[in-house]
Amino acid sequence: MGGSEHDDGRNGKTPSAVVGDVDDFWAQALVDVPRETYVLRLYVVGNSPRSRGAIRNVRKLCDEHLAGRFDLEVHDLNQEPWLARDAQIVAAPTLVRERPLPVQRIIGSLSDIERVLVGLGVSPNPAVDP
Amino acid sequence: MDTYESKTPVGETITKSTNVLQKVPTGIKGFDEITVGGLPRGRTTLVCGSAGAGKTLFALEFLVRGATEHGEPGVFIAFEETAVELTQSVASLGFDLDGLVASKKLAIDYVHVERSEILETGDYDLNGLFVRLEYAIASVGAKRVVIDSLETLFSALGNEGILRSEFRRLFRWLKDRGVTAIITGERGDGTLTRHGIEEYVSDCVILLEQRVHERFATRYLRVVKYRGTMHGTNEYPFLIHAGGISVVPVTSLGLTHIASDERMSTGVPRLDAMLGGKGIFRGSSVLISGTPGTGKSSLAAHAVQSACRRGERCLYFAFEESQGQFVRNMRSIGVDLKPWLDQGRLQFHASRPTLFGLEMHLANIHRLVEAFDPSVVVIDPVTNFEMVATNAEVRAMLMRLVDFLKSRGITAVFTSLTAGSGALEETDVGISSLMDTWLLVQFLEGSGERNRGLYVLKSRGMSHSNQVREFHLGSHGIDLLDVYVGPAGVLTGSARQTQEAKERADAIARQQEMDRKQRDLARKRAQIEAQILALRAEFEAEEQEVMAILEQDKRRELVLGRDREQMARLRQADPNKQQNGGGAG
Amino acid sequence: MTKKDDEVTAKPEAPIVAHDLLLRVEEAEATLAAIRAGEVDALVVSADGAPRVFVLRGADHAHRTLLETLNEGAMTISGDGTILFANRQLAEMLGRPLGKVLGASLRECVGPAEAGTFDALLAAAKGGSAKGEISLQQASAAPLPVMLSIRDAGEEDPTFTVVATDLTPLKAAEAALRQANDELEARVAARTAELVKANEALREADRRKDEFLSMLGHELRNPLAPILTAAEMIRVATHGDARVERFRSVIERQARNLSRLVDDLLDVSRITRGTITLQTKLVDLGTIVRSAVDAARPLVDASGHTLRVSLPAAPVLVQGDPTRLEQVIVNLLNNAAKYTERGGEIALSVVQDKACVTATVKDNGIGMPAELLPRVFDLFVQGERALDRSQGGLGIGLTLVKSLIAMHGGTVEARSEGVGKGSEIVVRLPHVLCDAPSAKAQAAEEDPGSVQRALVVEDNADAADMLSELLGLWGYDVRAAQSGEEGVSLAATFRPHVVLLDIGLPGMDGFEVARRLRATRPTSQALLIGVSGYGQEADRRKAEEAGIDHQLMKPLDPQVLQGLLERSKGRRARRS
Repeated sequence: MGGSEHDDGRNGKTPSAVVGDVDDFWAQALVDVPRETYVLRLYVVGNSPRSRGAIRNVRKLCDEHLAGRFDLEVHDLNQEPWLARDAQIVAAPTLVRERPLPVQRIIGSLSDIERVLVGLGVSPNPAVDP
Repeated sequence: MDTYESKTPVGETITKSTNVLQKVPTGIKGFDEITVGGLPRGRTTLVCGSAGAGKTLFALEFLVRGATEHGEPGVFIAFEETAVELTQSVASLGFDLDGLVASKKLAIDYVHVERSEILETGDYDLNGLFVRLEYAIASVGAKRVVIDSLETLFSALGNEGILRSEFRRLFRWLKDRGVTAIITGERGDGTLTRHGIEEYVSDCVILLEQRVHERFATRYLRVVKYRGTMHGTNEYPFLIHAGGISVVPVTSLGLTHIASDERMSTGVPRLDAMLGGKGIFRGSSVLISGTPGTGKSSLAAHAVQSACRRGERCLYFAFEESQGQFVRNMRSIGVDLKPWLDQGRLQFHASRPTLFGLEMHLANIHRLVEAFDPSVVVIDPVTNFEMVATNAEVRAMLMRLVDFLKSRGITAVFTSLTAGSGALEETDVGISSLMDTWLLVQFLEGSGERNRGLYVLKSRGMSHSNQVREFHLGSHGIDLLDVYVGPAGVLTGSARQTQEAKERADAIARQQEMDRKQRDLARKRAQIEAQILALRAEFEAEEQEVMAILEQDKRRELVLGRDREQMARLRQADPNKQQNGGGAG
Repeated sequence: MTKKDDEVTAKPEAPIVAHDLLLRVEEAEATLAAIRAGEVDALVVSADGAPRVFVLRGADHAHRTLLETLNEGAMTISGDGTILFANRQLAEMLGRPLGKVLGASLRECVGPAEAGTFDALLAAAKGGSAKGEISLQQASAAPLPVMLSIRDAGEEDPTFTVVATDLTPLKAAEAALRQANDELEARVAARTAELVKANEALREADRRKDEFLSMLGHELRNPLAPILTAAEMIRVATHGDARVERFRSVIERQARNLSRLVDDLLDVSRITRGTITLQTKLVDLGTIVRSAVDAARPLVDASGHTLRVSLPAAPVLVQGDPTRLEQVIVNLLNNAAKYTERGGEIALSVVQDKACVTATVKDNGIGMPAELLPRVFDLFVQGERALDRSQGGLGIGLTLVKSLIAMHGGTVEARSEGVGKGSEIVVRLPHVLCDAPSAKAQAAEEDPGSVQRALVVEDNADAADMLSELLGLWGYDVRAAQSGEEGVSLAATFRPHVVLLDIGLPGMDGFEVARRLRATRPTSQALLIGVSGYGQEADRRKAEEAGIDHQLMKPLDPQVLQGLLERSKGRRARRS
């Protein structure tokens, strides 16, 4: 599913740049923070239109707005019921943003991508027509 | 699409009534009696009530009893408490939740829904909850399920429409699974539950309440709805104590006690003589009314001593005096109770009535009676309960207490303190109707002295003296003397007074009896009328059927006749012969 | 209900009823909406007070269990290949944790080389279904061959139901099968090679046997020609010395007998090899019979039998090889002579009807038992010998007869009343009806008085001498040439009527000579008789092409040669 390659920009930063220009460091850090890998877990139940819609939507969202910096797992709770308890799932579908913290949950078929992006704290990719 | 009939076992459907609801004993003391068997099997029961009314405990005990006593594992879905909270709060009741979970008799799933971290976009359902429930049920093979409390979801999730339809689905799902379930719900303003989930529960709704009277909280349980079964609409007080919940039922079986013929001494020979010469009936109830200091407790102490001497056990509940005080006072009139206390034949429980609520007292009495199994119980005085409850409540409680004691064949002695005027209180009159024997102790003033007089106002099932006896308390105990009639005839007035009081009491009792009889009559009439209606309907149906059959027969005859004629014509038979020949053709 | 109604009736309960109805409608609508949204798990239908529960969950549960029990990977995918639903088996097939299956693209799960195949399959499935083999890439990068069955679920958002069947076991089975097959084929090939080798060895042995028989025939026959010629010359030279004539006739008879046996042997060898062919032409069976009688006469006479021949007056025309037909009749006569006790009676008759010509040879000899009749034409089968064992043959005579007649399109039948009751062999040949005398019959008479010139071309000096002497005896003007070239040049001047041409000449062979002779005027009409040492059928064909009229085999039978010359003399006479 790709996505897990974690593009941590700070590692690539030279120490001299950090020392040399503090303002730049913070500016860069601000840019870097949102570039943290998004660890997303989608929980659905069964092969319902609702489940399928949520999977389509989350996949599209990741590909378009989080390309290269997401780790997505999709679980059918029918197959792994214990996860419902472990992940404290009540409603289905539920999308859990595990990283970055704090944990955020978005329930529903995720049909309103813009709203989901806001919920996830992801700034929309300007290249994608919303 | 599967289809199947409702889950009644085959054996049940053979019986005449198709709607026999199977019941699951909850194991909660008293509850199974008042519901004649427990909760409806395979159905969902709503237990509602305000915060702290005991919903969670009720539900938990249902699970714990199921797991430990009825071989039915359970699932507890906790929305409100954490594991630690839950385990702690029930540990004091002796429930070992961790042990039950470890031995796979109980599964607990704590559901946390944090409103602040949830965003809703688009359509959703509660399948996550369903999956958890299903998984928990499967993990222990649960037959009982508790969801405490479902309505929490209303505050956690925003879409009430979805929640409502999902709840509807949940209730059906539970029914489909065949588990006996309890859903708890918080009491709303003027409604059973805040969000009206009682509308989804058609089988059984139980309301728990806690009411405070004069600083004392009493818990009540009421079966609001119980489809297809008889249930009292009464409120039943219940207790939460070290052994769990106890519901104290007003045993309707009370009227069916087997009345004992055995007599027992009151401990005062002259009094026994007044009571048909043999004393009171064993297992009967005795009320001793009197103004302060007239010797009510002394009379009771005699009875206790007499019983202890016979080797019986006595339980004495004192609400005015401490044990030491009482023993000392009694010794002063020659009744030494200490040996019996030492031997364990007598148990003395002194408490201030204001210490607990009425129901707590009652439940305590229950518990202690059950534990000690005495043959005589003394409540001294019952009138002190009026400090914590209304007259009616006290009366209701006494009724249940008398009932309870009678059902166990225990002789009960109640003392009642009347106001100084000498006139009988309404309370007494109300209580006295519950009693088999009513004694009145009064000061008789005359000839410059103040003597105690004892009357037997009533004693069911025996001829008793209606004379007044002078009642003398000496250092050797009680003596009853013949009444000294003075020249001034003081006693006449007193006697008349007494007579009047007695008549008034009787009148009230009669009125009550009449009311009861009238109600009985009305019920009977209604029953008979219903029967008549049913019979008439049956008769009409039968009549119609018979008419229809007759009509049919007639028509058949007609057709047959025509056929015969026609046949005859065809055969060119002789008409006469045809007539004579009958149906031979 | 209209508003007016509402007002008019205005019963106090009407608004309540209306409200109630409204609620019920709303509930019904909500129910319908819920069913549409797939939120309904069960329907409870109350009929006659007995609630029946129709549970969807039950069905769903059953289907789910079914899906999870499948040994196939089952999934639902979107139009772009995103996996929207999958069973556990698929996760196993892909070697991925469950959480990394849903939401993944199936397109990314096929090998990179197979993306095109996958797209094509998906496109083919649109609106219907498609099936195809494809290789899935497992998380370990190992390829997994699967059969993908795709069906369009027919939903608004394109959705496909896909089943992936692991073909690994099938492939393994196929490979095993292929290997087994290969092994089997190798074994078959080895065995076949062995058989071919054995067969070749057999064929070689057979060929050598035939060669041997053929060579044996020739080696036995070669000395016979000079013997017969010498015997003939004795006859001419001694001029009726009875004693000499008696000895000479014995020599001649026995030599002919021997010659015939050798011929039969050679023929049998040819028949078994299938190399015999007929030189068919329109012939008069009568002439053939007469010739055969002449040939058989010595044996018949020697056995003291009486031979009666009955022939129709008119020519009996059949399409056939005269030499072979004569051989048939001779064989039958010899047979009859052999199997009849001395002084018996042999009758030969030829009868013709519309369909066929029937030649019957009947004797009053030892006959045949009934059980022998069906086998009498089989090779090497012989009846009980007659007393004169010296007349015994090789048991191939009737076999030859049957084969030759069959080649002529005729039949042979043997009849006997039983042992000692004589035999009857009936030969039937298709009858050729000749409506008019053939063109050949119109040949002009040649001047009978003129002397016939004969040219012998033979490199063997002995044979040339003998032949020249013989022809000289018969009144021919004979010249001999030792080579083909010599023959050709001699013929130009000598202008022979008859040329006896050895085919196996060194240098210019007999065929070439014949072609040249035919090409030159003086010999274009001459009677060309090829004399072949080997007498092979291929040579006969070549001979015909070269223009040779008759082909005779060494050793030359003087009587046959004489008959041939007589007939051609007549023919030429008619022709000219």
